[in-house]
Amino acid sequence: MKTASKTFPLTSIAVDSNTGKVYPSTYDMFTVGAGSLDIRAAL
Amino acid sequence: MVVTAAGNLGRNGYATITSPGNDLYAITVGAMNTEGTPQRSNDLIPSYSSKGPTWIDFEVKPDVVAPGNLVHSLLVPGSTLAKQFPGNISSPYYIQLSGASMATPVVSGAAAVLLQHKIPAFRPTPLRRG
Repeated sequence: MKTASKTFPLTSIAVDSNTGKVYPSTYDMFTVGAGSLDIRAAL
Repeated sequence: MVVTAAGNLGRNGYATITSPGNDLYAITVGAMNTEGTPQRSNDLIPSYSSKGPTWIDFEVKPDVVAPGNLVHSLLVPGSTLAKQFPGNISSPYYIQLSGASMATPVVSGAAAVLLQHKIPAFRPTPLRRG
């Protein structure tokens, strides 16, 4: 998709404040897809 | 044009996009956390946003991500949502909720604008692939 941007970090880590469990994320195509929607660029 | 949420099973890992998000002809939307700022530089994907590939047939999804973390939206006072999440009510007629379901209407609205301005006679696939 031409009208989306991928200004994301490569990875991030979230911690559940209730359980303390750690959830790492890798920002690949299965996580962000084409990226964040950029409607202004599309128009 | 069908726009659907990817789901909120991302904490279970990959291949957590199930029906209806695994439909090839739907635009599948994941959630994004804007950190409450307009800048894109600090945007993150919340851990709950479901990750591809899709369940069963391994399609590459989500298609896009949009703001879905603590999004302000309309609230019917006294509704089930108001009773279940009283701490999320920001004013009598607004509530903050998180999830891919909150991100999906952002893309639905954007798709409507695109269709109105760019593609008079639309079909799902061209817009999704465009």
